[in-house]
Amino acid sequence: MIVSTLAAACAAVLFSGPVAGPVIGGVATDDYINGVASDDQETKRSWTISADAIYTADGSVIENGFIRVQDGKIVAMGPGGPSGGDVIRVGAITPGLIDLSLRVAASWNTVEQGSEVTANMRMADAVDLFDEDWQRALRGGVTTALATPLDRNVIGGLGVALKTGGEPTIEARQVAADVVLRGCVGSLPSSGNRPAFQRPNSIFNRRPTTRMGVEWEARKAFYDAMVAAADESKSFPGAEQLQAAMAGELPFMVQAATTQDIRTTLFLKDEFGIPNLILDSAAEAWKEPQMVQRSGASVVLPPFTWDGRTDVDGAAMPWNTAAGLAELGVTFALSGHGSSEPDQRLSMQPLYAMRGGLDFDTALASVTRVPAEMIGISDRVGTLAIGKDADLCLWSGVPFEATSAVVGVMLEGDLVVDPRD
Amino acid sequence: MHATLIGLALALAPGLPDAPESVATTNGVVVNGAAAPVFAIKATTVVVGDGNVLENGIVVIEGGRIRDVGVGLTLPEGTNLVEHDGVLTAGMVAPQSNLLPASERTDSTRPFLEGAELRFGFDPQTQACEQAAAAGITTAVLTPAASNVVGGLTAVVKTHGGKVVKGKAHLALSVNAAAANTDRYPTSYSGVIAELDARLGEGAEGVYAEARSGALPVLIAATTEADAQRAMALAKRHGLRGALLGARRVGEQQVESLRSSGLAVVFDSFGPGLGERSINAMLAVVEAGLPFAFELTDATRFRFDGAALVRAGADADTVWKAMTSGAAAIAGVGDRVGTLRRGLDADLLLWSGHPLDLTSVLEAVYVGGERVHGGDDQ
Amino acid sequence: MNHRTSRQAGIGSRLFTGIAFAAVATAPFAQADKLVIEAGRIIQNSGTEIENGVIVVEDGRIVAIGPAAEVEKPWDAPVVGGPELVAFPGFIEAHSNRGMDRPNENIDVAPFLDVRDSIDPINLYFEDCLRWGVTTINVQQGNDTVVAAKGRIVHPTGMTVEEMTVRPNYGLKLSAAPKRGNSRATQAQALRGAFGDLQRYLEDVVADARQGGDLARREALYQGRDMEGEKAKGRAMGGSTWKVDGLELIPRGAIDEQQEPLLELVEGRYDAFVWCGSPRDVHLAIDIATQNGFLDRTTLVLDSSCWKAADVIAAAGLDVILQGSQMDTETDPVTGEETETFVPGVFAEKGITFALSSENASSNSLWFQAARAVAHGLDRAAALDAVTTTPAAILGLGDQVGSLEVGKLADILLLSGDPLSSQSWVEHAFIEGNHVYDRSKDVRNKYIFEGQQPLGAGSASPQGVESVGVVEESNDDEDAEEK
Repeated sequence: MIVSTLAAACAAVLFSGPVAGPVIGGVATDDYINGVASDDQETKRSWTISADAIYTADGSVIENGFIRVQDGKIVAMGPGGPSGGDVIRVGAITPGLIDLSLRVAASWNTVEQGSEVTANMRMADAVDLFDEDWQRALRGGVTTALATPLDRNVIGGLGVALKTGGEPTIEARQVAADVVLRGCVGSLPSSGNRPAFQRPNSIFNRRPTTRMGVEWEARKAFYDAMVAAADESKSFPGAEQLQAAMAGELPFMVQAATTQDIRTTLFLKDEFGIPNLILDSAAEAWKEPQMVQRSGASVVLPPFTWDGRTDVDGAAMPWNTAAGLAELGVTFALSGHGSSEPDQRLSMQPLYAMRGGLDFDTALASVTRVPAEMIGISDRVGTLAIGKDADLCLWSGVPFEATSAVVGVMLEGDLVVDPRD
Repeated sequence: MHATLIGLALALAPGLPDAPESVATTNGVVVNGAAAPVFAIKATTVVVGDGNVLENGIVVIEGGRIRDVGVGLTLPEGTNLVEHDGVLTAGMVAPQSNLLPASERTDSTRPFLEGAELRFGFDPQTQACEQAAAAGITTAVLTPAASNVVGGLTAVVKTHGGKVVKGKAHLALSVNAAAANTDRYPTSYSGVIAELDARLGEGAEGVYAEARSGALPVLIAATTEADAQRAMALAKRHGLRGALLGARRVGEQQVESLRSSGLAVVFDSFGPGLGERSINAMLAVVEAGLPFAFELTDATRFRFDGAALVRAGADADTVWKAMTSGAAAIAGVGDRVGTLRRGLDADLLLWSGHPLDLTSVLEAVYVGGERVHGGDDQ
Repeated sequence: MNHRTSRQAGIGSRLFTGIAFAAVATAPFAQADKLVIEAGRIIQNSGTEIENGVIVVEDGRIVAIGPAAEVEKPWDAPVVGGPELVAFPGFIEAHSNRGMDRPNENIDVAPFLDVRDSIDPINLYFEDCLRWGVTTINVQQGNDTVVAAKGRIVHPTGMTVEEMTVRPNYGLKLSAAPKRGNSRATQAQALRGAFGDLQRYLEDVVADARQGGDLARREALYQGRDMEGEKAKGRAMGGSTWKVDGLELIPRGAIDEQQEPLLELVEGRYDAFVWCGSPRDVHLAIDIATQNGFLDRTTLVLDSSCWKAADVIAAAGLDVILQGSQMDTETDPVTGEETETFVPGVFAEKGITFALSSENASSNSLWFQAARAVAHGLDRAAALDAVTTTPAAILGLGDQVGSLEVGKLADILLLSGDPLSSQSWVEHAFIEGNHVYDRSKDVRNKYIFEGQQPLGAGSASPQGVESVGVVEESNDDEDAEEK
């Protein structure tokens, strides 16, 4: 939290003085004064930010406009707006970025390896809110992220959508808990397992040790959940969540990077009629894009790399992948995988996707509105509108240009990175 | 079981022959035979432990307990009076300790050991106990290692004499990385929490029900800030009271959470090399006025941990209170030890100066009115 | 105007007929005596631009440049380019450890080695250089050294190192940061020791010569070194800080080859690139260079954290090459909070001449470095200079490359847009007037950026894919249900 006392003092002058701007959105000027704490360390609760362009991420752009924020929400926005010492001026404003594959705080202790299918395990219970990567993600403009268990189980459990900063409690940070059921195919769920030739000496003497084993475990889990739905005596921990995924109430998010793993996952979707499937790290979706398109699954792409090699299962992803999926109408989001490299951050990914031919509007949506919709939190975040959370990404210039940078970040009305510094 | 032990200890005192009248002086300390049924100690400064400090106060001890505390008390005829030129305090209390050897604190057979009672592993004859008593830690809680999710039921013991003050004192839990073992279920924090929720939730039984009702306090091993956050959330969900064990960083960002959780913190033993960041975090807990105490690992260093916080800026009397009456409250035996008050155990320490001034010397230790360390025996 | 349109349409064929096309770095040079390059916009340097300009190239150099209306185009020269393209000088990598089979040598003091023997002309790095528009590269040994091999300035084209070479025997790499396994004190001692050894060696051979011996000469002959011409003559020792009297008695060719490059350094006849891995190393670097008389010819190669030594560097008047991330991150040991410092901004503010480098990663090539510097607040001209004219000047090639001017080498890029735009591509690259890169023929680029696999690399055709429904049919044994 960086709020300078000086800034707060300036604010008091502006809003109590005769030059105070027009009151927009029905908020009385007094409220601003009351919200300004110039003498103590209290957080400033109201801000006005103006920009050359405000990209709302629902298709509209406000040229030379402003956003007014109070008590963590957007209370007013539009063209023009007040100017003066207190108004923060930046090049552009976009919604705070949303990363569905940030992979922050995914330690070994976030995956319950007592079994290979643990659909009822909650990441909300395991996530480490004190991991320094949260701070880094926030500084890079990511204000909301999905945290899921480490991908070592076939079905690992329930993901939680969190704000990347704020009071370090789950209640304060969660946008919504248990928003996806996380699964994983490919080489990872079997990577730690080994067969027991004589006497098993570890919980890792078990299936699966192959991709086919992984798929079998996934199918068995869903099948058992179907049986349990019909016969309550056969229920088991996690059956409820698997049933919810089959009913479409809970998105099923599966890490599947290579073409074969994407096929496997789409096959599961088809067999068990899972309506809402999110393919995570689906680098090779470009190889069989029609298959993905027909399935109706949505996609989260891993970060672009200069040589096309991604970090999961060595899957290859050329830079026109996003553009290709957009052309076919596949719903997709970009992700940053929590890279500590500034140039791999989520805020840079649209640049690479656009270099591969993606248009600006789709690129913007793929890091804001679309990921919010994918996990059902778009009522609060993902676009800029009155009443939405005041999660803002402030840019020095046109977003996603190599010559522009994220210069400020606001999270629920707190200016966590001050563009004036 | 523990009733027998107490009986045994009480039986010992009258069994001894009457102490001789001899009064010897060593380093300005006047001592006498410890086992006299009634005797008194007068000290330049008496730190009562409830915030009061008496100049030239007198503590009267009878039958191993404190009979009276005050200034200018009239002593019964023939009462031995020990005059001490220095500070008299209550014995220190450690709400977490490694007094049990590692093999007795770690049971790797099952992650949930709600039936295990730590007192059955207690051996008062060990060097660790002796050292603790000699260093002025007169009462300690036997706690299990943090590697099991449910480690068992703790016991509060005297470090000298083998007395178990309280059995089944706390339910010991762990939500830290050691409990999320990689080679047995549960391997994850999710699993740990899911299991604890299942046991402590609606319909809890046995000791879990007692913990849920607040009748049985808990000690939750929580090392990192994230562990502390999980532990506090758990306590909040199930109405648990007790303390966090370990979480020395909890003061950095979680003071308010800690306050609203109602939990105390027992800082793990840290020694002199600890970084500024952790010290500041602990200081924040102290300054917020929240209950805290210290873990006992190395008895000779126990006092240094308190002194380190004082050196960093904490109020010495606040820290000392935490090490005695505060710790006794966390241990659940505030009505027995930790304060110089009528009826409480006569666990007394005679110091040459303020106990958190490291140049001060601990000159004598009394446990249950018996001098167990210091004086002319040395 | 209308014939420009026709040229634009025919650019590909003209390139083929006019000059032999080379797809990537490995293709042989085709010598074009003359060439005319047209561009809708010519950026000569960070301050000068020409709308609708023409560049005339002869024998590998620019002979004329200006607005199309004002420049006379030779009738017999092939014409390339078009109004949609932007001409820009090739980027210059001031310092790189790439393109070699292994960048580091385990011998502490190895100036007798030459990166010539390490450079691999078909290393993918050089191909990447063309793809990203880097036309001149100063290849120096890695930073894990005390005194490293002699460096070399190359173009990223040519079948042999000799073909690639712009300037051989250029620059000596020294490291003020501890080589792996060294403590800071050992490193300092090793650096000082190298020059101490040189002094002792020179004194020994001079003493030997004065006593009538010719040890050095016999040694040189035994090693088969060149002892003719200038090499056969002795010369008094130059240099500004310390000297060994009587060196004129020793033929220069007889000086031990391990010592000779260091002698050149002390005599101020060689450029030094001194790596500093942390601000602490800067003092040592300046100290060694000052004591041994090569401060004037020293350029510091800096890790990001070295911005803290900016005042010391400014006082010493040194130029720097910035390696590592542009943002330096520090963690407060007490609060754990991280703060970021924009490194080029610090050097710009202190008035220190700096060149940006690619951080030894192709993805962070020079256009990207310059663009990110602008994003973080550096002005555009300073950012462009830091990847063109400044590195050219640092390498002593200021009159040869770094900008588009008459008399300079025709190292020219034709870009699809502004050099700092993330949507721009290098469409064509020319080195000394030779067409060395054409994006439309770049197979690897097509794979990485467009998902088109090279021939023989397996099918990537979306048409060859079966639907999920087909997969379902083939899987009717339903083993899960049997379970």
